[in-house]
Amino acid sequence: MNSDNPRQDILDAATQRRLQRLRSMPIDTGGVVQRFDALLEEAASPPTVGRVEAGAAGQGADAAPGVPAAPGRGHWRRYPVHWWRPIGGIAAAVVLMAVIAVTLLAPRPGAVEAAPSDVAQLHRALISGEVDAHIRAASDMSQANDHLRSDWPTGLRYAAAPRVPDPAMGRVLSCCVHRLEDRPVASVLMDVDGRIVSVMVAHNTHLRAPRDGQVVEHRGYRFSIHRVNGTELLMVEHGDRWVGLVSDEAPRDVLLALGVRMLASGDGPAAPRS
Amino acid sequence: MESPQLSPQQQQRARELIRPRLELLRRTALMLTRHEHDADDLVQETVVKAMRAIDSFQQGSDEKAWLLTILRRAHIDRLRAAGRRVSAVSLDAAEGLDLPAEDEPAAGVHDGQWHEPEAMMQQFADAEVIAALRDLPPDICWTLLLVDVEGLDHAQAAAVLGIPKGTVKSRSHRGRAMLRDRLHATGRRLGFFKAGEQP
Repeated sequence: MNSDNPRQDILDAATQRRLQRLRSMPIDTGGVVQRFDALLEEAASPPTVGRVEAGAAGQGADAAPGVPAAPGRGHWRRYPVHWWRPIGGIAAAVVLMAVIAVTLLAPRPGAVEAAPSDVAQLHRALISGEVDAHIRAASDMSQANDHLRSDWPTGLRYAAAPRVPDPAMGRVLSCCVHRLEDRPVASVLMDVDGRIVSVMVAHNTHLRAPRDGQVVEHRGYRFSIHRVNGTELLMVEHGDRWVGLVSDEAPRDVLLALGVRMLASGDGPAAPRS
Repeated sequence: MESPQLSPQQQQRARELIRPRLELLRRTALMLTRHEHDADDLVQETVVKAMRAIDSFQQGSDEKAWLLTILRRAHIDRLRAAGRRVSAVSLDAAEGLDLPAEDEPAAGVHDGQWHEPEAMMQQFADAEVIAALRDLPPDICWTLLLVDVEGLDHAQAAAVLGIPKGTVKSRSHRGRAMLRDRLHATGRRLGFFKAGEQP
């Protein structure tokens, strides 16, 4: 280290020491030792069935830099006949066809109203990290959308992950895909001027805004607004998306401003699955 | 993956070279993969490749660096096989260039909020640090794994990564800042950092 910036050196040293501590993490090697011994035993047994030249396999040995290529060319190695493989293949094909059939025949979930209390509860779970989902750190909306796309459930009934529009304000903190009313929802936790806001996006074929809430028209967009135990909620259906904005800290006008910026950002309705 | 045929001498070398370092391999594999079974498969793949290349190991070379080189390549192969985009920096033609990944913003943007870095760092559980590490671009993650976690010096890490020593230094520095940013996001969620605090 020893850069020109002593503060940076202190931060780096602390980071390095925390990483160093991972080296003393207890690691259970029982399984890999057992596998190693089994491999060695197998490596010691003479070839029994058939034989092939191992040239191609030997080339994949990936020796360290500066060392000669791996042995293998011209060596004899075992060529076992796995009689069960064709049967395994047929079984796998049958299972695959069954899965495809079930997926095709499964009814697509219809749209249900997103209950404000459930949305508020979910927002609090996202903040506390007590949500049954893999929360991923993200530093901007583009990275968050990449994570959401890869974590989005697969299957014909889900379509591709809806893109979370970038409001070009605030800071993205983390994201995750979770469920609301058993429908997948893409969520991004943001810091908007020091206030935590959850942005949730789902397909409007899955979720829709409640019909009984107060409706506010702002800059040409109609927002359904709710308040649950001090949590401010705002929902809107736009294009093929349902968007929810939730915060315990940000006032309604901040959420409205955020909502308008998102809807006006011109992001496409849904990102193709990569 | 088929196990290779080894002579008694080769078996003995494998026993001496690889077996004592299975913990190192499994620890590294666990940090790179999400599931234990994936980690064990990666270790097995590494072991098989190392067994095949056992004669290529030169006496007096660094065993740890040799095995980690094989593990890294096995990991890259798995990422590619799974269709994952491998970071533009390290693994292809651009290897050796010290460029930030395309989609990586400036690192260390929240550094101002680490008021007591040492104490704040210790608040994070191993799993949280590993998740943040895994979230980094692969080349950065590997640099930190080698230099900071495993304690390889810059020359050893450079040999494993196939890049110049200077690049290892700058990547370590940038990687730590990127890691802090990711831990900061986790820390915000866990309440380690106050809302509204400016960087």
